[in-house]
Amino acid sequence: MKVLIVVDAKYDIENVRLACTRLGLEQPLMLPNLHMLSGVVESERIPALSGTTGVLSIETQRDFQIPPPDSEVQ
Amino acid sequence: MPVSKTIVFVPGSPERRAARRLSGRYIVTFEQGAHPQVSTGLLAANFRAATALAKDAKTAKPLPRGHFLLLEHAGIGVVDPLPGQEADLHALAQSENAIVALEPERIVRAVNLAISGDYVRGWRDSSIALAEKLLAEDQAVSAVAAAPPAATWGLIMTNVLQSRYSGSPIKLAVLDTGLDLAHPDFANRNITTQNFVGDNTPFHDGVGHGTHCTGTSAGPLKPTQGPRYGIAFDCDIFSGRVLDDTGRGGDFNILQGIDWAIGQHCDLVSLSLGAPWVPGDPPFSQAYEAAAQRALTAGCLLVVAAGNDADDPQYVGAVGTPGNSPSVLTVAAIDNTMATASFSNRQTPQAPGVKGPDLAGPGVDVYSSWPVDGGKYRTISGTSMATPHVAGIAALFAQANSGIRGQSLKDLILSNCSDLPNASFRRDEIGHGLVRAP
Repeated sequence: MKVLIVVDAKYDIENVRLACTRLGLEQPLMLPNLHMLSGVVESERIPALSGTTGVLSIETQRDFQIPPPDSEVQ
Repeated sequence: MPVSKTIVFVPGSPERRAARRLSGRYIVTFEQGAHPQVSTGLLAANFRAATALAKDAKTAKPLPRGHFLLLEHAGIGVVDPLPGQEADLHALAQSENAIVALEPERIVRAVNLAISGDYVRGWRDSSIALAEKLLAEDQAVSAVAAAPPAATWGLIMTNVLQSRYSGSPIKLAVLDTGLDLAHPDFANRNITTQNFVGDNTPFHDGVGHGTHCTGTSAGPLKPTQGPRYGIAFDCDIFSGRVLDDTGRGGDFNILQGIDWAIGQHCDLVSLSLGAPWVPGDPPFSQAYEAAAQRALTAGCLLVVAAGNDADDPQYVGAVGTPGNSPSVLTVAAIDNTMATASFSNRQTPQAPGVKGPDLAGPGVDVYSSWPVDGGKYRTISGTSMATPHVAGIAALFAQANSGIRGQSLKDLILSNCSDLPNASFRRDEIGHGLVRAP
């Protein structure tokens, strides 16, 4: 499951990334200006990740899809 | 045989109908010559035919409820369904091939100058400018009437033509399907691009949506052809390709784009995308709200579409993600009669806690740039089109007020909106009203 993790601005994002990977977060990617992480994790590990120091919230990623180019409303 | 039909529902509540100036009746459009079978279909659905008045009739009579009247030569009719008849009417519209459209009847009135003086002045000024140009070129005066307008209705109605601002040196990011860099209208502009879609292609626009939105927000003062359609004609454009050639993108692509825009010190980010809200969803995404707040702290304002689900029976029509984030500037769509577009998402009791739009922008029949291999220009509708109107005007505000960014820029834009007719009946649709250029 692809997730987005909002990291508390008070905490070093690299430290939080390390903590999350130890708890099962894979393919971690950082958004340095937004102080956020993304990654892949099994759903049953999400509660443990939520409780990690420095993690403010964790949610599943969604996809966006705009209508086809010949649609009247886009 | 029509290829597609337009079928639009009349809202159920009298308040919503009044806010949108709908009578509750329907206008049915059908192929010419097909009135006998349309009439047969309506009679079979238990509607009754009204009798047309004699040509020399001195008084008119109202159409009784449950009746219809067809105008044979025009291929148009009016139907007033009784409660319980609406479903049958819609079923007939779907199944009868000769019916091209079924739409709510609008109540129209003369434009009130006190409300739309700016609109009329804008139209006057653009007509004068066009007339002077044609007369200087020794064209026949009658050509003025047939000539295209000097600017799109959206730029006229939002006071852009009267603005002395160009958007320079504001940095405006558009996160979308990319931009056609070969389009002649974007020559000689400061454009920074970045591709966030991992499809191993160079930066481009394989769809058109991104080129259209960039055109509205930042298109040229003098396009290579046709009317002016762009607002911040001298801003610095930052184009992030976050949606692929099928128009699809994930949260991470979009957030990467926002992260990049902040890193580039952009003042504004225009986001004409969203995912519909469905019951069970939280009122907003924690991730997008955090992103929006962190952007504001960095002096960057996110301008986001409210979404286009209000006409779609599978959704409740609430503002989608990320438009429903409290800290973004959320944009609804109006048409050129100042009515709320029927597709424009809004605040609704079916989505408790989900914010409504903050303001509205022109979002119906919007002409703007399009990839060269798709015809160079196109007219389409959507809150996607209203959003770059607000982003472009926000760039003009940012230029006019060098110390005002982020939340204070958002507040300034909202406090300068112009009121729309029946505004107090449709705050849930239009928020503070129509965006207005400084």
